[in-house]
Amino acid sequence: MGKKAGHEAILELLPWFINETLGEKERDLVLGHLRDCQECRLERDRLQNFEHFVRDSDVAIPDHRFAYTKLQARIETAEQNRASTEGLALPVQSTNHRGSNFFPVVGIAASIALVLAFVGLVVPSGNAPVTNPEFTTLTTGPVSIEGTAQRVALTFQQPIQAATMRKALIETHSNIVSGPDADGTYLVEVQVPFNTSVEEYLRSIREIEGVQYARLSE
Amino acid sequence: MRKSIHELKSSRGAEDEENLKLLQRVAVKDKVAFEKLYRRFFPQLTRYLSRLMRRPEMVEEVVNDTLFVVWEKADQFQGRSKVSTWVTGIAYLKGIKALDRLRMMPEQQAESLAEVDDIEETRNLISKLGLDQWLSSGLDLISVDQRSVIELTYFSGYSYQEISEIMHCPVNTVKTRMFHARRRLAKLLPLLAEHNPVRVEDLLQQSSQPDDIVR
Repeated sequence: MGKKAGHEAILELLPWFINETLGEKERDLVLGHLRDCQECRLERDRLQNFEHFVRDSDVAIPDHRFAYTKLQARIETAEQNRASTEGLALPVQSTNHRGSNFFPVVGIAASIALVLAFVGLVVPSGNAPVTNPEFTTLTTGPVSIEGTAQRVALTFQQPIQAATMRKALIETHSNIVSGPDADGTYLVEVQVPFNTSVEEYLRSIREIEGVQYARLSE
Repeated sequence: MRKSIHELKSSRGAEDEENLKLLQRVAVKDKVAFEKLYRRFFPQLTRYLSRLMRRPEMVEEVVNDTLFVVWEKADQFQGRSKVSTWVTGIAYLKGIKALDRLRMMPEQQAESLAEVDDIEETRNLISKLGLDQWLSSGLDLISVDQRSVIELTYFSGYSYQEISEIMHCPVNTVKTRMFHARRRLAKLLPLLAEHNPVRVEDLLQQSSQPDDIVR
């Protein structure tokens, strides 16, 4: 790099020298050049002040909740339209899960009634009976299962497509609590029906397409 | 074969790791994860789009357009960049499209404002506005792409490589846009160096001298 070309190139890099995103090699080049070049030092100082000013200048950020509510409604409409177009059941109905045969799922009306009946109740994890879990996707509504809440570590086969994983989560009525961890395992909350033992329930989860392993969380 | 989002691991710092985890959950339509992601991105997208578009009344809609795409396409994220770079890239395209719909082509806008860019008018403008608003007006003098580069560099702290990904252009284009933006804002820079509205008149006088124009 010639002296002039170097000077031009350094001037060009100064904004990213200031925001500290240059790679090590470029940063060293700039530092070396700044030692000898008064013009670049002045420009660096100006740009630094400019950066402070841009950072400090206000842009009013409104509360996100109002905007989020609008987007949520838009997504729900889009999901319902998609379900209709594809001939699938509507969101709330889809929680009946055709092909899922290990949950005693009650009808929509009963679900709604139960949800209303249990509004305001805090649902602890562990062995407390739970009747109104809500699978937390925008495309399924509340589903009623009379059972106990359990936290399960759910590991999926790899590679897995999002659609397969989603289907598995819906079949298990899982609410994701956290994850994925480094092994790709999710901690999920499920409802084990009263008439099913935990072991039996876990075995049935393991049979679902895409699930590699399921165990009770420690 | 394309990698599934669920196979991806982030090696770009804790923030990106957390964003990726949320995005992986959004890919299976987890609404709790989506709301968290929305809360994370809403302030930065609002700020970026406010600066980019200069149309406050349109910002919320474009933020939602952006995050709607995130909801719909989360499973298509390839992990070639940080999640925030990917999301901001969507916001940039949505912002440009929205301006396009308004027939407010960025260059035209910049040109029409540039016509009033003489020292006397600028002086009048500053005496009427605060310094903060003047910066805002100064940013009106540059094109939307130049503003985008300024905002992404100075506020969001992106590298020029990341900006080229966000704006879907070569790195040299990013550098050129920054160069032109700096040249146009040259009058503003000495003023900001002083950071003192009382001395606006003096500084403007000073900035009208050719030596103050960078490059």
